[in-house]
Amino acid sequence: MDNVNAMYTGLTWLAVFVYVLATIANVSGVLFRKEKAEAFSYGLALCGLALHSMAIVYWWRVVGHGPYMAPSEVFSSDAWILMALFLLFTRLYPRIRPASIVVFPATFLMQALGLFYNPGIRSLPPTFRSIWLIFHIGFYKVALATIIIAAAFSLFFILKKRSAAAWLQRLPEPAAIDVYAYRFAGFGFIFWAIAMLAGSIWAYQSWGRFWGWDPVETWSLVTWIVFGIYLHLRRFFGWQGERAAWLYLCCLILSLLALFYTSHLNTSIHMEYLR
Amino acid sequence: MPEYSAYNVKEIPRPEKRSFSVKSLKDRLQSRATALSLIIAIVTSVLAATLIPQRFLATEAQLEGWRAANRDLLPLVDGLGLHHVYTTPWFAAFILLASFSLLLSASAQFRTAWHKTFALPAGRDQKAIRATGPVDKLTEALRKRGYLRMAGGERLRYVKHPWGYWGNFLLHAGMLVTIAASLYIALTDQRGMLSLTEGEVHAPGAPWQSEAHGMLAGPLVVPEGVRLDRLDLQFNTDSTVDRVASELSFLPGTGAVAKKLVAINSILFHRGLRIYQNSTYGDEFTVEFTDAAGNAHREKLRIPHPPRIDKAGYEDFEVPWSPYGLSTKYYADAANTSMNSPNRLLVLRLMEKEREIARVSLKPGESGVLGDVRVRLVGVEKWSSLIFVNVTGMPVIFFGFCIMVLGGLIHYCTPPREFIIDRSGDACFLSWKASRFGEFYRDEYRSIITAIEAENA
Repeated sequence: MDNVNAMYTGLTWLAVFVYVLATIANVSGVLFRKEKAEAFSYGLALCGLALHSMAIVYWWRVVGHGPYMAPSEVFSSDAWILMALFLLFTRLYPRIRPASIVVFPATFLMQALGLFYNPGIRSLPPTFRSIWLIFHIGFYKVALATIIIAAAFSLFFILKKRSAAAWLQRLPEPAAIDVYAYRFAGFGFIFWAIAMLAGSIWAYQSWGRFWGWDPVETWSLVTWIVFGIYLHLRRFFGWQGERAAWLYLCCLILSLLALFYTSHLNTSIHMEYLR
Repeated sequence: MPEYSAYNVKEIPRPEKRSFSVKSLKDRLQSRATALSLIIAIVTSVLAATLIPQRFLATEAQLEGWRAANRDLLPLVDGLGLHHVYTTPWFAAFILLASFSLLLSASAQFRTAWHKTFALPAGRDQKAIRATGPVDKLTEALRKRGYLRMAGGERLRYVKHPWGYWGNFLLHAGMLVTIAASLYIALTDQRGMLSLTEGEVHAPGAPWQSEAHGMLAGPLVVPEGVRLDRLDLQFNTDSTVDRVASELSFLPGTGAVAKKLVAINSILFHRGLRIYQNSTYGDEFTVEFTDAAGNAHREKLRIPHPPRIDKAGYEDFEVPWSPYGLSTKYYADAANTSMNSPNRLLVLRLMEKEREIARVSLKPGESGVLGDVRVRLVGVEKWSSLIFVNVTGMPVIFFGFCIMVLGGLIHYCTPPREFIIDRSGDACFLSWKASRFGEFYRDEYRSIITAIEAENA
């Protein structure tokens, strides 16, 4: 068992190390307009992702279930989806590439955070063996990735408005940054909705109810509605720029609390994750 | 062909202020400020319900603990019914108003989507560029790039992803369907939960362990007796539970007994009812207590199953014949070898609040002393918890949610882009715009223009 743990931990640390190298190359490439360094950082990120994938697949085979039970698995898969989706989105929308200076470090920080938890083997309780649970968890992870990308642009907007630093001036125009944040917030809103839908189908299959006002469910709904308010204000009340960016950062904090804090409340059935 | 000059809902003229009438009420409900206020009111209510214990979620002790710690707030909490937010008239009013607002807004969005899909914008765009070459070649090039012809004549309109105009409508219509179906279910569903020991029968009309039903439905009554024949537990190699199943017998007054199985993630359908295996189950210990005066008290202690071989299942009890609390736990096997062992180890503790007064460990058939009370573990049986549900309309909720998600996906993932071609003599004028997120598609427009110019060259 020690060898198995050592193998998994070793692969994960190696991926973290490569991600750190990718971050260094990327930040220097974006901030100082070194195109070669930036391009190299994407190659390193792909290598990191490959190592990270190996670690996840290896652990999946060992424990017999996907990476969503132990906190170490949760953080690792969150980081993997963030990096994989970001690389995919940069293929679809090359203009969002500057968000890498937030996404790359967020990836290795999340993965490293997971390493502080014991990666002990946890069996899947019978209620957790549903395809809907996989969709439920998977789409929250996708939503988190898009929310972080939108947060990067909101942050850029605020910094760009408040500072004349040369590196900030190399980022896209504020109007463009604002639109990127808006659209990725919209993606987050929709993926969050899909995750809630899958969760309610899973709950109905497991307990005969689609909604139970469990603290996790309730905070997830509140977060989703607050994202809805943000989008509503942007679309119908003309909110944009710095005001919208600050509101979005509040949405980000709320979503992080909903994802990582409320499941620790004793009254939640989601607490079963942590037992 | 109708004409319009704006693509953005923001630019649709706002209704003029009028005195009170059905029309002005409709305008007020439809206004964006009302919609936003209602959303904020609902979020605030839900937040209040998460911060203040709700009667249907919290235990009596939790509720009383919170009330004792927040005495200053009690007049407000009791006046507004904040211990049962979701069943207060004011919360129902918020939901009702939000539904009306959503209905009006969805119908307006339907008209807008229809208009945007099929109508031609008025007047030529100031930024239109002059293109040379035959129009047929131009339209062919646009078709190749996924642009669909939506209007023809002297002015042509080609749109990529025209369904993207319907995203907002679908998003709001889906919400409406989901809210309506949730309301119907909240009014009509029936559910009951019970725990049975092996061999025990729940007769029709017998009280449930917990029960809930909508305002338009009575309490759920099982059509025939239900008996738990056996709780079947299977375990993983690490001693955690792998499968939980209950073998049930349905006992009609006359006719054959039906034997059926229900397991976690395997719902049992029987005579219109959905029956779920709950994730609580365990052992029921029959314990005989004999006090100093020689009075015997037989208690049945139902304790949740231990999660693993090295961990215990716990439960606390109050017994009427003792001033102390009874805190219990048990291990699956006194020898720590098998989860299916008949050799359960029960630990009883007599508690004065948090202080332990006495403790005794017993295996089946054993006796011992707990403070000044003699105890004997008479027998051990398995118990299982089952949920019975009678609900209709659930697929409509999920359908509504799917419409909502589809609307959101096409709104954010497929924003429409369109070319307007104005014929003018031998030449034509081309204008392009994206309905949303134009910043993402600047390159698409430039590449199309460049490609068309190259093809025409």
